[in-house]
Amino acid sequence: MELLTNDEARLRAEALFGGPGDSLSLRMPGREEFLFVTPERSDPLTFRFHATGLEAADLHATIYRSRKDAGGVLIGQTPWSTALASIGARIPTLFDEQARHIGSAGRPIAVERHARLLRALEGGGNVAIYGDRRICIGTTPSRVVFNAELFEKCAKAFVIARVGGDRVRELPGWIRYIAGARLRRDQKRAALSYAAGRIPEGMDAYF
Amino acid sequence: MKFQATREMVVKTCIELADRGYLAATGGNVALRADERHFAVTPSATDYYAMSAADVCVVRLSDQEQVEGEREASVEAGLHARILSARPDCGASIHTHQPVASAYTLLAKPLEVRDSVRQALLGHSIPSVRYAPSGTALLARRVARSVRADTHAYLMRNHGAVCVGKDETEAMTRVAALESECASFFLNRSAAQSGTLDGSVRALVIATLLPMLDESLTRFEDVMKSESKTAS
Repeated sequence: MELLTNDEARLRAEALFGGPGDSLSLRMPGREEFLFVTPERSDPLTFRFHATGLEAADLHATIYRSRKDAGGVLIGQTPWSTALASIGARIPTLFDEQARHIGSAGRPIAVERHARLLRALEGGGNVAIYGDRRICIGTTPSRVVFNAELFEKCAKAFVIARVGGDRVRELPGWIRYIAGARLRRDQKRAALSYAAGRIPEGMDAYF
Repeated sequence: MKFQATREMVVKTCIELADRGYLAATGGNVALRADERHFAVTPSATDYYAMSAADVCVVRLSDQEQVEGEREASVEAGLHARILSARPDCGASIHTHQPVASAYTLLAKPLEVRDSVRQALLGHSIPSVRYAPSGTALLARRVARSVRADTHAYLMRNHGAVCVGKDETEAMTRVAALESECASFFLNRSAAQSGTLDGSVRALVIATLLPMLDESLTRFEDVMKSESKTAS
């Protein structure tokens, strides 16, 4: 509970949470349940992975079912996620830490393409643009916050660089490959840790 | 605890950088010269808002051996060591992931500084250092090769920036000046590209960048005030 409150406070302070339709959740290790909070509701709700009974929580449940490594999920809108949706282009992997902790974000996905969203997330990426919202996954309560901060930087940098009309350089392919392998290794460790009822440790390596 | 005041200053500087949005997640780091042979540097992969002075590492300049600190030193300690060795006039080396300068690094070209106040702060041309992975000796060598006495900021491709100064206040002023100069560049470019851009995206970019133009001047005035106080 305290971890969720801390995450919520930090995300609010950075304007990464708090808008209408935003939601944040954390997996409860060793249980098929997650804690869920929205900006309008200060008391967290507990939901089972298979039956939430709340539309806003359904996507969280779907993600926890398909991503055994997911320790936290943030769904919401920022001005930069909306800008990415407007641009509609594939979001390139631009920075080392983006490749290491977020992976490929792909193209923005229209809201009616739910199956495509699930396929994209099952591929291991930790961020997707869905409609004009960004979905952000982290292996731990702190990692979901860091990934949200990191993606905000990436989105902002990409949109600003693109507005200039110059060619935007992607990270070299070999770096994306190495970082992607490390990300997948962390995700496997996280899934094992949650299955054993523990929050995974050591997920904050820079590269 | 050795070099307590310097280590506390590292914490304070990191929080200020994080508050201003110049660090992303655990990215970016700060190195302050502690004495002629050592510098204090942020620990690796640490949440800056949870960091204490005891977490801050003390590293020897000559061989980058960590001599103090409860955590492992930043992966960029070697980069800072090379910069501080190459610039004995500097007491601070700040590596940021500031968003607008980071955006500029994606263009892989030097930044020509147009504004005269910012030119005085940064130098005439900010080099774009060829890409190398974060935390590697290769990146440290490439940045070190770009270091010049009259250039106080360096752009690292697909990564971020490093700004130096005689102390953390001057280096922070240069961080803000670099962000302003990059903002000015993109504002000019977006004006030139106005016909081809989505209106709402362009409006967001302009609304974000415009307030940054004055920021470096405000910080410059702060430095001038602090210097005049010291002199008197």
